Amino acid sequence: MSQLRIFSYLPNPRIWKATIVARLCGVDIDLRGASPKELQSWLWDFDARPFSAADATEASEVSGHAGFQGKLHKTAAFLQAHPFGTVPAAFSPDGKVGIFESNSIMRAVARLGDVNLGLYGKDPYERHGSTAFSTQVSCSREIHKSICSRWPADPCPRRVIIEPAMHSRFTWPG
Amino acid sequence: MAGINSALSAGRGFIVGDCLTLADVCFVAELGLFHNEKARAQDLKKRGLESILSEKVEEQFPDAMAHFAKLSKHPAFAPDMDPYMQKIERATA
Repeated sequence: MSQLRIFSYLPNPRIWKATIVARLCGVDIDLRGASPKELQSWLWDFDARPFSAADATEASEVSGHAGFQGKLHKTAAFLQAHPFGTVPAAFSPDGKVGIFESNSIMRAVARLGDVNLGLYGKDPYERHGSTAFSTQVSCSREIHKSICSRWPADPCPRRVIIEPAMHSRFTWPG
Repeated sequence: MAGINSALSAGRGFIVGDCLTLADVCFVAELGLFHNEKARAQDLKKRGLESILSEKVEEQFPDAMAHFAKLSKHPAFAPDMDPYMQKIERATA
């Protein structure tokens, strides 16, 4: 049995955080998922799989957000473990404990493995330094994504138009 | 990027301390995600926006980009990064 199950749209570079750390620490991960489009017709559950008519009694239809449009099929157990209902969604082997946000999933994998490898840093100062950098780089991406003027194909509903001058503040060094 | 570049410019070879930490893993994953932009460079240009991963990025953030390139060869990183980066390359070719 794997030590952690992760359900996500794929490919997703943010999942690399977990898979890279899993390789470094020898942690066994069960990764499930499909393209964002295909995930619309999956059952969102610990036992995630393509949705079938037989699953209809198990799942309630939930409106998609943050990149997903239309209705998604999420089970009560999924929402219990993942109250925000988002992916990537990681689970303990019994499916009861949910871990969300890719940085948290990455840290969970590191803790499941041999933390003596030093991935957290070699002392409390480096430990917090590595955490701060991880948060910073993830937030930069989110800020950039939410302020950017979006291209027509982008399904992001939080569409904001940004002037080139403002955009350059986030791209210019210093 | 400026902050990561600055951290790496100290020459320790890693973002925090002198060995690989979660900060390096996180940096690679997030910058990998940014590469999505490459396939949409024309759309950005049309809107007068400069892509973060423009042709100047190696010049602007040499240490950060070298770190990304170095880690892409790491055996724990390559199995994820190779197929994704190759797909981006194909989309931008």
